[in-house]
Amino acid sequence: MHEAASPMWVGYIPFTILVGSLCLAILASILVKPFFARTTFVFVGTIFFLLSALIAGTWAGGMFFSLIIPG
Amino acid sequence: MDQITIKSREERFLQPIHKQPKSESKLSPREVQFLRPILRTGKAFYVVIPALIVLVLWVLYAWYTQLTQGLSVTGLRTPVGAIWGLYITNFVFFVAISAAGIAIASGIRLFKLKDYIALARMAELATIFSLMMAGMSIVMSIGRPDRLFNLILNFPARLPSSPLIWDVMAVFVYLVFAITYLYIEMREDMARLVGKVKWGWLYKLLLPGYRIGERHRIEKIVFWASIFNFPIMFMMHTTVGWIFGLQVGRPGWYSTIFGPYFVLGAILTGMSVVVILAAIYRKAFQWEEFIRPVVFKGLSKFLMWMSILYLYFILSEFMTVTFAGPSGEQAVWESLTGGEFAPLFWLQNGALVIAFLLFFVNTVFKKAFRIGTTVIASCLVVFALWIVRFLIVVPSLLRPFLPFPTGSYNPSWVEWSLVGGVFAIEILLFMVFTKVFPIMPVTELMAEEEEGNHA
Repeated sequence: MHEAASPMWVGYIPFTILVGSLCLAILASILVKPFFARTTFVFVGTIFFLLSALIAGTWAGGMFFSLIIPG
Repeated sequence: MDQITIKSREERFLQPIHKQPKSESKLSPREVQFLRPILRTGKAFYVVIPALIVLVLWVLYAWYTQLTQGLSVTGLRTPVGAIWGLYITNFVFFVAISAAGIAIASGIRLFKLKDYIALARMAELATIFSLMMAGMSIVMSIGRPDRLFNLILNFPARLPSSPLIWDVMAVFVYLVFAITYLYIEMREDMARLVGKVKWGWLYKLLLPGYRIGERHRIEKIVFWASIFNFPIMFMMHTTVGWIFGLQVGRPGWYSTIFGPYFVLGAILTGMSVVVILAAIYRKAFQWEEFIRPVVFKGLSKFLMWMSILYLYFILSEFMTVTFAGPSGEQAVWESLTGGEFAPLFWLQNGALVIAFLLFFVNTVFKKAFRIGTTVIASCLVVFALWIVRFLIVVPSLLRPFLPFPTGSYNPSWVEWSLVGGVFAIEILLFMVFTKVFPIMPVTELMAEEEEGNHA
């Protein structure tokens, strides 16, 4: 069986973009006027923003490390 | 000579408002005192920061070496030897530091411990930065960190059976919650300082949706978040204990005591770190008025009980294993009490006993109380509990139940560099945060003072 033609880090790009977009979408929703009490919304929004940022960071980190690690 | 130095430092910090830069003239004298780290930069800052940056660069070089050459550049070996070593020791240690930070901050707000308010934010930071360093230690410990996302991909399948997955989940939740908690409780301070200090533009950027008078709502959120902090804290430290305590295949780990043992160890380590932090900030920024001796007295009393309780746990474990324990368990304990790890084991116990005695003297003999004694005892606790983590991780791995020969573990320069570097990064993060954001909860302290004046 042949190895994949493209380097490994290329495979990480879709997930990084997907979860990263979710992260940015949450950030944007905090920045624009929310529908209910702002402070509470910011609190909940911050939690979801950080969670998605951590998950996106895991993929981004995977992409970064796969560039350094040989093979 | 010393008096002159002290006087000049005080003058520098306490100069009259009209002599201060224009932006500071918008601040009240009290605010100027609280914001000393932001408004003034001492010579030490310019010496320490470059030194830390050099250390961090060294860490990056060591890590690059490990990533490109593999874990063979470390002293970690399998199946004969230790597959976990200094990195996992550091992970458990940093997770432990994170415990008390948020617990102290939550306790202060829930029980309205007015004397301790000044410690709240530095305690929260200890939690956040230590959790980050714990996560970094894990990433450093694996040979292929580019595959770390598998933890997330396989999360649903592994959830019922893997304590490692529970731990990753607990650390993620705790970190997210701790950052959110810090951010929410800091909003009022940032809003107060927009336009008054040079970092005002950054505060403005970090205040989406802010409206005047949101403090009441924030207080409510912080109150409920403080209540939730405690179960999250217990959950996280118990799951770290279960990483070891649920493994049947390693002598010395499979134990019902590990959950509470880790929670207690975390509280002891975290509180001690907060004592050290409080003493450093108090000394560096002449905050004797805000971090008063009563704070150290209270923490000393609490740490006295925690340290004797921890010694009791060690004794209990020792008795259970040595009295009629399985031969594998006994072999591990023999290596601790009289074998190759004995110097470290007795050093750890000696440091804990001395720390307890110092806390005891500070608590019982009121005239003998010294802040310095509390700080020394706390340093001993932190030192001892780092060794405890090392002795939990390594000796058990060197003596497997399976018929392999006994291994040995000699950490390499790469491991020592990364382990030391993680401490350097944590100190760097603390210094940068202190320079950019208010380390004192200005609004809360001002409100307390106003209440005191009205009473």
